Amino acid sequence: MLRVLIRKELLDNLLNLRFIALCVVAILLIFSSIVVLTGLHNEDAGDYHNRLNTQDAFIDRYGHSNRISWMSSIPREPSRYQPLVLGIDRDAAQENFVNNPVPVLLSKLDLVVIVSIIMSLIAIVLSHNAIAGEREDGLLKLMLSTSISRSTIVLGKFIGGVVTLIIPFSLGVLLGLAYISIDADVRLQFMDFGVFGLLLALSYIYITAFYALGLLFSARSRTSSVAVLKSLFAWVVLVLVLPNVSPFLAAQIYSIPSRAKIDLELNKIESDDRDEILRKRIQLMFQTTFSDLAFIRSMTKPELQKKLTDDSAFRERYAQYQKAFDDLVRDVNREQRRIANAIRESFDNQSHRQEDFATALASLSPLSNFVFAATDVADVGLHSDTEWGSQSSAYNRAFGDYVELRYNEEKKKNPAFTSNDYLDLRARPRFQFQQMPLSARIERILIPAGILMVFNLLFFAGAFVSFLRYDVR
Amino acid sequence: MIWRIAKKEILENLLSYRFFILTGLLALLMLVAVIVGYGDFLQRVENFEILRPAPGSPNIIIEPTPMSILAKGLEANLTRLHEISMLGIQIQQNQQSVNRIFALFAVPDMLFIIKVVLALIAILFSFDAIAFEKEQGTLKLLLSNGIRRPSIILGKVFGRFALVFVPFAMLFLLALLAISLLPAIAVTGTFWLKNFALLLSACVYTLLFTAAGTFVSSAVHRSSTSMVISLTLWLLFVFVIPNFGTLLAKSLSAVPTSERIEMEGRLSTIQAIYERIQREKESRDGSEHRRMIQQIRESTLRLLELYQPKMNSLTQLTKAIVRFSPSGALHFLMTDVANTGLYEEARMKDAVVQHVNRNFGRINHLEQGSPDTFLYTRSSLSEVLAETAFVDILVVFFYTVFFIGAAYMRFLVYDPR
Repeated sequence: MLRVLIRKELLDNLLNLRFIALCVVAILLIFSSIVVLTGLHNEDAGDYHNRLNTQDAFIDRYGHSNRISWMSSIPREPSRYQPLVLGIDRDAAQENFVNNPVPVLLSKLDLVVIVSIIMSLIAIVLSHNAIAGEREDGLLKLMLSTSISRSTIVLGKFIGGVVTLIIPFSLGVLLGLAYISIDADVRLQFMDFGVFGLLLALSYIYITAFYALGLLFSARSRTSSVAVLKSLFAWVVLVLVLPNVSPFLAAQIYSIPSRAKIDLELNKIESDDRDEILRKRIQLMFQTTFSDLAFIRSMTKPELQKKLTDDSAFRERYAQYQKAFDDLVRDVNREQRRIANAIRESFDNQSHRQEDFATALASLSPLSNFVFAATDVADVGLHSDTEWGSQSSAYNRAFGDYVELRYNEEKKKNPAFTSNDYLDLRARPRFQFQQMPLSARIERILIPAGILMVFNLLFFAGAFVSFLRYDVR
Repeated sequence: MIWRIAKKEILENLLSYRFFILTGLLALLMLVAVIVGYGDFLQRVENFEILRPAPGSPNIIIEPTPMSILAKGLEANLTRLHEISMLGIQIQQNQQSVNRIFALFAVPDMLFIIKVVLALIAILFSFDAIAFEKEQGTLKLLLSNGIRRPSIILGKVFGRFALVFVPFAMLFLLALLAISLLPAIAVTGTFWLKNFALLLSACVYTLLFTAAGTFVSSAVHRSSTSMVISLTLWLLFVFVIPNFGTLLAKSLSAVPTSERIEMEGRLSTIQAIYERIQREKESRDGSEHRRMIQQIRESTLRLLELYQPKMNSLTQLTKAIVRFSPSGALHFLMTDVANTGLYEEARMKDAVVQHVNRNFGRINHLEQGSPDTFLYTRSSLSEVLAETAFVDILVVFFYTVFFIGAAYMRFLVYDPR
């Protein structure tokens, strides 16, 4: 009996103008978004390689320890899933003065936005008259007067409706995937199909939840126009209000200083404070250990040079002083960096706690769970962003150490070597971003996907119970 | 007669569940928009206070505008710190990390509410205007009563429009009042003037979608068909055309990406630094520093002159394509009026470049004296209207007139059998 009912629902929907319009919209929207983002991905990938090659060639040819940081900052490789999931879109280009502001103004539409906002809206629009609408038409009475049980009817409606929604959606995505495999610069691997499959599965769960929500309100309303309004209201709260209020609420409840303030403070510790301490310590040095050298402070450079060449005892003593001076500078730098790092670390911890709190608050909405899960599957979400931050700063430290090491080596060979001379850095460590393996990502999305399933079950159970008690008169 | 029909439409819907729910929905969304927008604004103000350069420093940061609570637009880009040095103009990003979560969701500011939600509500209020009466058979009754068709259709359009717009306008004014009472906001006359302009554009925009819904409703027989077609139209205007427009414009104009331009600039700068070091090794007459700075400046200027116009023409082309959608035009219009749009961005960039050009010698200590303070006032409403917004207004008006006309014509030839 269930099969017959599902077939009835399917045919009812498939032959409808509504369904054809839905198909056209879904395919047009999904396909166009994938085409746009694939173009963007190819461009970004080109930029990324261009930048990497330019920097590599530069360091190989002109490497020197001064100002190297200007040409050694590592760009982030655009994700291979960019055509589907943008995630946290660290638009590197926006940091340049000459840039194109349009993408910031008109936010980009990826599959996640299409599913989370547009498909969910379509789902409630399709389901709102499934029960209340049939009551108005009188069909429901007719159906109940046959011997079909109510649970069969509601199950049939649910499955039939979900399938009608999923067919055009899947068609759009599959067409888009075909386009990616033809056009994009990424060569698809076996693992990618796993990611695509997971993304599709998450989308199905999410869309189904909203279909069930529409069914729930349809079974709790007398007329379909009331039903659509109730579902629309729930949609606005779940999709627009809850996710956006949560970071704000989290920042209110658990407030932390602003990043600009911390940056300013760190800058002060590592430059102004350092200079001050250094000045005092040097003064102290001249008063105690090197009190015999105090007179060099009033000497001009040529005078000092002259004395250094003439007086060999002084030369020796001066070398001792220079070594003590270098050690002092190094120690003070190290100490100030330690203080700054402690502050930085505690701030980062606070930020993470605030963010976790915001994430937990946002989990009250199916949209947030879907977005978190989808971005984590594609490894472009919050976790991957944090991971990127720590890996790239670890690399920057390693690279800085390597440059210092090489500089000291050269200096040992040739005392006249300066920080502006060519430094051979060809054997430098190279950066390779370690992406999270798929199994770890799956583990990570278990919680949001689970919450999504709970929403699904809750909404469907609500619809089921409400329909069992529905007054068909 | 139009007014009687309009009155009937209003009264019929005023006490309805639909009116009640949709008004509540708008109120809820606006509350969220104001709260989130204000929090965001406060953060920018705090950043501004912290980063504001000391007198004599060449760096530039402009003051955030409270209009960004209503239409955020490019405000986050506009209020960043521009660091000016001999290496050119560099932009500093420092963001609160919790903002990463915002980056994952669509932030519903007032502009979003108007562009997306208000349009949707207007569609939901008008898709059944005619089709439902056809289904119920009341349309035949109405037509047999000797009421002229133009009165019916115009009455329906304006009645339903009033139903959507009047509560929206009241809530909008309430939200404005709330914003003006917030502690960190100094309200001026221009604030009210600009918001009045926003309200006016929202008014025409609502009429546009009401007319579109009524047109579809008069063209089909069933209200459920009408709903799906109207929703398709809404999706097309609000999401599809703006999304495709950006791509189309990009593929039509071959502008290198800003990343490539930046790399080119860095390379020529580094080259200048190297030449200086080489020269210093050979001879030391004290002019190397000056020559290096001149060289960097020349290459930076060349790059700016070469690419900024291209970027601007890309922006213009995108604008032209996206304006095929009234929602796109409204987006440009409202962000420009709120001083957070493309026009303001280009204007500010221009001012920064001019400032750097004027003060170049002093910033790099080639001349005596400290650089001028960077003074920037955002564009006035009349300037925005005269320079760019009139096109958007024309587009929105054109679509409104078109849909009212189409609904009118379609209804006149309607065969009630």
